[in-house]
Amino acid sequence: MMKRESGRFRVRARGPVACFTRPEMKAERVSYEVMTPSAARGLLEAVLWKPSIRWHVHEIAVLAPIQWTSFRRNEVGSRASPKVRDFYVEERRAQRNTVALRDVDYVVTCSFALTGRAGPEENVRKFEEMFERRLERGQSFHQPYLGCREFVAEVEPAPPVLRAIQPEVDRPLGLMFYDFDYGPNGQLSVRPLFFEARLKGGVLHVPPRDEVLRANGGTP
Amino acid sequence: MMLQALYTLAREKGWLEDPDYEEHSVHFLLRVDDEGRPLSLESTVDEQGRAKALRIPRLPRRTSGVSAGLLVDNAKYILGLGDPEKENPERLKQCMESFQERVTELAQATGDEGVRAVLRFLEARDQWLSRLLSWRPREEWGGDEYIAFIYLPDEVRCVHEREPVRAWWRATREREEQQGEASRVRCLITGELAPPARLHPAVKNVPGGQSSGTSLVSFNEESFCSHGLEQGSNAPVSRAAAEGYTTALNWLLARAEGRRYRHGVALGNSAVTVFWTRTETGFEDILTSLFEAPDAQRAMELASSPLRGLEPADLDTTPFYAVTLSGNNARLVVRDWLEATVGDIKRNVLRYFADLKLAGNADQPIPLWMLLKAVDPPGRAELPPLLGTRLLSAALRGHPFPRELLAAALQRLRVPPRDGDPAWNLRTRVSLIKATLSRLPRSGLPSLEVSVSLDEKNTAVPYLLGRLFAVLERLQYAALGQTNTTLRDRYFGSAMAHPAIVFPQLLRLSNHHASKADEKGRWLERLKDQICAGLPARTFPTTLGLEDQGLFAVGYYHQRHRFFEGRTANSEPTAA
Repeated sequence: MMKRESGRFRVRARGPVACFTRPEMKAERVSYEVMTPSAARGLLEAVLWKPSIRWHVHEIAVLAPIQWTSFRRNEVGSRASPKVRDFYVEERRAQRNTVALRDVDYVVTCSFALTGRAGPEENVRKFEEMFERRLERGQSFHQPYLGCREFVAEVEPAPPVLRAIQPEVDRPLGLMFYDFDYGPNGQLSVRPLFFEARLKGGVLHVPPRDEVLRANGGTP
Repeated sequence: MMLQALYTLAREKGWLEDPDYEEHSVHFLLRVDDEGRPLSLESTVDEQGRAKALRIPRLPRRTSGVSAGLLVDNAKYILGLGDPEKENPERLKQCMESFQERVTELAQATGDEGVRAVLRFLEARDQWLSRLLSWRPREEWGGDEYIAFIYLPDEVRCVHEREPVRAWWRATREREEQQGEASRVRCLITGELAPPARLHPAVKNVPGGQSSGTSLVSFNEESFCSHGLEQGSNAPVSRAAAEGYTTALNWLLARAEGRRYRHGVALGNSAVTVFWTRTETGFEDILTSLFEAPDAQRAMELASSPLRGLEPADLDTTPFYAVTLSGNNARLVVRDWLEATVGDIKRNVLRYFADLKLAGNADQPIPLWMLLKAVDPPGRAELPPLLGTRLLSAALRGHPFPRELLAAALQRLRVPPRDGDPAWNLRTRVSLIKATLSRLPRSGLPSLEVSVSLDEKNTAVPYLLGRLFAVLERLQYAALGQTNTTLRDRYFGSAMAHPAIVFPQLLRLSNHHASKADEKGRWLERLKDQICAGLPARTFPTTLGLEDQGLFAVGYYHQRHRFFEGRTANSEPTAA
């Protein structure tokens, strides 16, 4: 039987600004205090993603104190799409406030598993090596970012001896966005999944996907 | 966590026991008999102009459309009376029809006598209008007066309180909720599975927002929505939770006891910070007064006694929440969110007032709005709202003050003092500068310990220069008396920024003043020499940085204040 789940990686991600937007405060953005699992998945997918693999985030360690900043920007109120030929920003202005995090520093512990779309010639080791190599060299498919595209992240393999800030802290963060559920084949309607987040010893432990699905009313 | 905290507040206050009803001010009680005849119109408004708050069936979310409440609504909906200049008659008619429709539906469903009496009144509305207007003339009605009905045999109980009405209303609301049953989601606030609220109730009394209310959770543009989800589905919150957090927020923001906000502090005209604690302590009340300070006397008492009085150890670990809000048209903007303990806040706030302490105002804390007003740019709109937000945030968190505040205060000092009470303005601005300086991060910079009153041992050059400037100004006064333009009007700004250019000239000028001044001049001369002796070999710095300019201003104020205190024995300079 071929191995379907990779070993665990530790990836360090940091940046000057980050905004992991809460869904309830999305129009006038307010960030979660800690990176969400879906934002962490986005970081990893920037480094390596194939249809054959699916990333799992296990832990997010917080290395820097949680600091806030707030700013207001002119943005647009509607989406641009290939169907819309003319997109005049001036006519679609929407001024929005952002409450973002400052100087964030995280270590993400993660692994990936092969999906049903992995071909017979593909194996876990191959992707493990690819990921390690790419991470080491700083290669990515697109610029990794912290919650919003404009907040760039610096991603690198985590040194072995990093400790979370405030290891004594143990407090609930409330319900946090986990990820989207795209249904079995990605054809059903999309629904957001949430989980009970807790910062324990400065680390956010992320429950496995099955558990979160169960807690959100099971698979539709 | 903010919404959860607000929801918990609402739950603990017992506002959610009866989720189908809400508290709302009702201005008039209209008594009707079996035939629907109006018997009397009782006003509930007290001497202060406040209407009595009653529990009424939850009002629908109002926008520009017409949507009537159940048995209770304003004069537009019930009597068709509104401001004739603003309301078009067509709309008033629609309002009345909509209200009557609901009552008709209710009367048919319940067959209740009280409701039928109201319906009879509504059907013959035109007939009774003249009688109503004889009790309160047409021009006195603004349209926003809320009216509730009382059915004669009930004496005091309103029609909307009658049992059949309550039962029907509850059942109707439940049915509405169950229509969304198919799409139950996990509520972001309570964690329970429930159908999401599509639109959230409005939050009122937020600066910068629309008067009809603003939404905290709203998705009114295409680009705010994800994956084709609409409105409330973007952030699943159950209806009960949505009503809970908005009720709590509205309560915190409500006008109360002569204050603009019950537990909120205004930050200029465009933002407000509201506070609350996990368990009722009265602490928020004290804090609000302390920052808002309707009168200095009260603030003084509060600053000294109750903060120390609230000592039980468990109080210190009570969670404390603060959120800074402002409006962006129909949307509510969260500018800052703070979760701490009462103990931390108490410590930080006491330190904040201690930092602001300055000779001349030592026993009188300055309210926040006065601080902000003192650094307003002259003759223009107020400071960017962000500055107030950041000042209060720094005060509560015990962080350094924003550097812009220092810049703004110095900028205002440079402008000749022509507006308001110059002594008060100077004191407030220097107070702010002093607090900013004493909170600077200690590392890197030379010691910037700033005292409350004159510190003769302080040898920092900018501080000495500030003192020197005060002496020179005094010398001018001793020589010439009151003049149209004083040294301060003309040279303060440049002396602060570029001492090397200004001071040599000022010192030359002072010799001239000294020769004209009498006995007092000689004492000032000695003080001048004494201060100069502390300066390094009489070479003045070319420029001073922002923090040094601040120190200059503090030195100036301290020395000046010492003059006003009068010469006491120990302030008399000894001949060097």
